[in-house]
Amino acid sequence: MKALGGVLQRGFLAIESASLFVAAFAMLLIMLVASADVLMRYMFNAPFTWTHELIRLYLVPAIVYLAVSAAFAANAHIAVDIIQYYISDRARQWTYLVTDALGAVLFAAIAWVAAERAYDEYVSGDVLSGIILWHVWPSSAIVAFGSLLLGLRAAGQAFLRATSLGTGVEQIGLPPLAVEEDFETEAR
Amino acid sequence: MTTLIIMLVLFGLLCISMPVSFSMAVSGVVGLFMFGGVDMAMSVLTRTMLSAVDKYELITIPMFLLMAEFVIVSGIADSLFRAAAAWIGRVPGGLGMATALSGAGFGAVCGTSSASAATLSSTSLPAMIRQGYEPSMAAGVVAVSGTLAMLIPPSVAFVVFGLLAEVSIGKLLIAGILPAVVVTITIMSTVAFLVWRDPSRAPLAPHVPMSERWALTKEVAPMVILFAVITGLIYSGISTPTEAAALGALTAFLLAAWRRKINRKTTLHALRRAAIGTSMILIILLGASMFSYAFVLTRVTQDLVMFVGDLDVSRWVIIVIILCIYLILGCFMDQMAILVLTVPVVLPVVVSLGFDPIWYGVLLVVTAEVGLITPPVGINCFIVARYSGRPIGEVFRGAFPHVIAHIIALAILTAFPIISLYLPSKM
Repeated sequence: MKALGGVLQRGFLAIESASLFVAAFAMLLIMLVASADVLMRYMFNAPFTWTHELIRLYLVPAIVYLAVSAAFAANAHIAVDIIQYYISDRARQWTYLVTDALGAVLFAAIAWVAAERAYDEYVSGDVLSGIILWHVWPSSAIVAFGSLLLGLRAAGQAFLRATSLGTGVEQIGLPPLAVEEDFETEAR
Repeated sequence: MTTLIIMLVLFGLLCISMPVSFSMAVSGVVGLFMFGGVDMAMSVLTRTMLSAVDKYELITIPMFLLMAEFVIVSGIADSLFRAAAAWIGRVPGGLGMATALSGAGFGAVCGTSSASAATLSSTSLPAMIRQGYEPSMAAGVVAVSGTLAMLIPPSVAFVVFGLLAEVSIGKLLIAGILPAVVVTITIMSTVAFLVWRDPSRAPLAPHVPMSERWALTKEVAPMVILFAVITGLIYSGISTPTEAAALGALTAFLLAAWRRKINRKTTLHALRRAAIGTSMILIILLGASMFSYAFVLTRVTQDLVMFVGDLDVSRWVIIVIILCIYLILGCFMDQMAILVLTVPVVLPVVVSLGFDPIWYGVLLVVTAEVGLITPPVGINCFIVARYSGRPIGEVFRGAFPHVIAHIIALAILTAFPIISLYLPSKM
């Protein structure tokens, strides 16, 4: 069973790492494209006509949704964790089981509606009109992929926490408390 | 009844440490389900999953975060304290004051307080302790100086407030400048007061020759350029905060490259960290958006505005009570969580009382600064304690005089709204 926890963890980390790489690339593109747009506007009075749509439709959703699972894995999402200082490890495991399970349901629902929307938009060939015709389905597809990844990660963690509580053998550790996490993040 | 259930679900989930973004989204979905069944809940989910994050203005957040990452990579920030200390180290409490100045300087190119506290902890704290400063006093001034990053542009807190409150982000960022001067002077005055009471707490630093002072100052000149690029562009109206943020990130990248600190590893590390930070903040806005849909249906905000409007007390009493509640919340909750949970409800009340939302935003950020250095979850104190190896109680003790001083500064900013509103009025 412990091996299963390790396999799950490694599998998620590999996919999240690749997904985060794409999000990081989207971040770099935003910096370059938005800066170039400003410079073209003020120096040559010739701004790009496609910057806003590219960034708004694809790049920002890519950063948000392709990094969301990695952020969850790194315990980077802000939580009010004061109660965690005062309860036993077993009680902490219970609280995280509930939050992981609810998170899985929430993001599975988002992935579902996003996938449906992406499919509809793809089939009907929806575009954002302008000088360039921007297909809108990739935005919804990005949301669906990122949410599905997070939903699966949360479900996997919930399963391992339930197993830990049931068998008494720790399959998944407790997240560090916020102060430890922030310190470690900053110290890197 | 529905309102009660939504609030119970929200606070229940927050209590068991569910991420704030997820808690708000789940309680919002529960509320929408109660109002209009599965169809309404799914329809809002479909609408908000993209509409909450597909605004062009949102790129201000990732670009400010990225700029801070590249500034840290460049190592320029490390020179700030040495430059400030060279100039005022011979004044009683000079190194403490230099810490406040470097906190302000670092805040001028970095939008988050924890990064600022971490950087100051590794530069100014060891220097003060080596000089014979009382450890708790040194740790306290480092913790409080780190908070200045929230107030000085580029401030991520102001951007988030602006998005939640639908207030001009450019004006908000500029509004933070004069209050930041007030708070910096407050920190320096507190250090001076503590040293005046007991000079042995802070021995004088050694003399630094004039040539060395100028050499150190030249090292930090790029940071001044970076600050001038961002703030100057926004204030003059030449560019929007979004454009200024992108240019700021690019300038920080070029500065790091100029100092030969850019390689594949450092660039990827900075991009990844900024992406994770962005995702975390924007998912909070997504959760807040879902929650708002349900909350608007409850009409609680309108009822609250009417209730407060009917109260037979001065509006100043109400604003003081609101600020006191924020100070108490700051002791227990993360500042970003406080923003998203309270702004949609409290801002309409504040505006209905005739107060300016920009001024309220500034006060909110100053109360948030206090929350960063008050027990039990004052995150800046924890960061300083870990870096310095000092007991956390000692750091909180050292920060306590600054908590009192900050509250005095908050009172000044509350009593004189012009301090916050003068610069935005000139834009």
